Amino acid sequence: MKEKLTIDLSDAVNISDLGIKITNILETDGAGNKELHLNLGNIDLKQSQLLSIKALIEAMQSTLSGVETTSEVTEASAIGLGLTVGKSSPVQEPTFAETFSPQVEPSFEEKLSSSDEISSFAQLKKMNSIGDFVSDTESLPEVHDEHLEEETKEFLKEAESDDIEDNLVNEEMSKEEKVANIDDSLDKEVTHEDIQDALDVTFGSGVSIREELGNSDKDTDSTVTMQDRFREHEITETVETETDGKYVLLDTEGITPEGIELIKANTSDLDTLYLTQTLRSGQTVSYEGNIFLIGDAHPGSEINATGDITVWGILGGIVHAGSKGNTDAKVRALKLNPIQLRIANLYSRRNDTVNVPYVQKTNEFTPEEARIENEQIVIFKTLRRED
Amino acid sequence: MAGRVIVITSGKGGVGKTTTSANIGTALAKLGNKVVLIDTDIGLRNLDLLLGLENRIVYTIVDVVEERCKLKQALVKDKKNPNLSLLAAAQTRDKTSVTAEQLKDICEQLKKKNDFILVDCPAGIEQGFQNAVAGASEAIVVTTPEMSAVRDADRIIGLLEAKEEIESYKLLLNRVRPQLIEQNDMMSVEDVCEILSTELIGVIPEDTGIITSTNKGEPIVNDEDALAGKAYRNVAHRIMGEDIPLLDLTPKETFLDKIKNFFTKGKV
Repeated sequence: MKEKLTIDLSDAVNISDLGIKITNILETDGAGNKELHLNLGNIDLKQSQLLSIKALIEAMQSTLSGVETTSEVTEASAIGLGLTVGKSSPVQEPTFAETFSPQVEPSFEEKLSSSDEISSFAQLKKMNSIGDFVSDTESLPEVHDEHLEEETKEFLKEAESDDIEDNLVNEEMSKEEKVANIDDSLDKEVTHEDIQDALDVTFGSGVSIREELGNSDKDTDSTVTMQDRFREHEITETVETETDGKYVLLDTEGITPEGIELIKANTSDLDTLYLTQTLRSGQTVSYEGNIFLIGDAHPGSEINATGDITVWGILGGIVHAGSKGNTDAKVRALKLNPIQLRIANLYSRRNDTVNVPYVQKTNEFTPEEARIENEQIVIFKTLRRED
Repeated sequence: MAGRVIVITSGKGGVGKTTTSANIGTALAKLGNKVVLIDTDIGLRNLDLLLGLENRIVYTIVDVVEERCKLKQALVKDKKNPNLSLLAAAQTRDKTSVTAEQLKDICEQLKKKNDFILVDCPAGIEQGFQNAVAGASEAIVVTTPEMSAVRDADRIIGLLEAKEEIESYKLLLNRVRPQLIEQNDMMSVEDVCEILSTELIGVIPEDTGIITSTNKGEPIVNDEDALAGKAYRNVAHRIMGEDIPLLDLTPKETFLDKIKNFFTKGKV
């Protein structure tokens, strides 16, 4: 049993002063083998600093059992190191597990499936702050918030009614978070007309809302067939190449290559080059016709086709579909993340706010398609074609 | 206006040529100079990534040389600083796509309208190096305090001296770790200067912030607090002819060091 010793260091002015004092005391007192209790006064010690003091004491064959302090910083550090804080009478020391057990947030999935109040948007906003998308969402533009709200409600409704769909919904939800800046405007009342207007702007008229807002009848959803459900979410998101979109149109004035003659031609009549490989940085594929690539196209690679370009994988390089001027050409990929996306005479680049060179590979990509709509490159997240 | 053409070279790869180019270029532009960065590392381009301009490149130096576009069209303006622009290398070609004469011609054209043209040289001493050096009249040799890098720098300096066009060259010592020098585990700045008998233009400390800044596509000179950023800003001032003392890189005594000192003092 070690002899207990309390050292009053409350008059120490800084950390090195502390070190000197402790060393002096332990050396003069016949070199340690004591159980020390330090009175540290109001000095602020970080955990690393306290740890070095502890190491210093242990180097002198003594142990540090507890500290007494008026500083909150030091107190927190001491608790972190498992030391007794406060009076010298030994109280129950916090165990390692107690001290370090992190505040476990319920996972997104748990929240989604377990909460009854799932449709409250306050909850949704809270979820929005969890996870890795925070930085993305902060910098991302507001893309058709009303439209997204409508969808979000639909998804939430589905989550309540259909547990099997949970995974799908989760995926969709996270996508929403990634793309949309769900901000305060969610709280405002959105009328049916507002949403229809937004849809008209986005897709052109003809796309209607399948479900009415505020329809909380769970049973209605269960009668919807799988096919209908897909059709409903056929176009779940569009990102236009406006100044603040995911893709920004490059100023092509004067830099459009010569020899481009704008036409509209059916790309399904063209020959198709079928490739199964990973396209790496520096590799180029050019073809008169369509290109179908099974594999990823890494950043730094280039794909040029006079027709469509389809990538069964992550598209991260530069693509040019309809390179001879076919404005009907399309670019499709499981994940569209090209550095530049060019169709016919329109060149667009990734917006700097979403300029991620590499996307994480998951098994949950939704196919995306880029095509020209109203002289803009528009990306559609498509689950199933309607034609 | 006749701009200065400075080539940034090293011989050895991975010593920080591209990082140096991006940072000195940005720093010079921030000081109000019109700067063009030329990436001559055709096939392995990186300078655009460091500047975060990858997504803006439509035409490259190869397109200029092969006359698919005008030189002006191929210059990509920096996001923040309109004084800074980049002439990117092509990723899908190789070094033989451009000849030394063509690069010299490009430099001559750019000289007329810019204060500084910084040429980022590829590693090695083959065609890429010959191209990069062709149009330059000054050189900055980047090296690190390692035997292999110093040896390669020596070789490069020899090649530069043999070139008539290169009027002056200076040494930039990169990734210096004062702590290691203190412990005699790394060549000191003086050692390297002595071995290479070359004038020094700057000493850049090793900084983990470089990694983050590279990943973000934001040169570290824009970070006012970073030591490496400050060192690069000083280099820019020196290039402009100002006399600025080297940064004090002597390691600061930490608390633990002080404790160690108590022991040694007591026992020795």
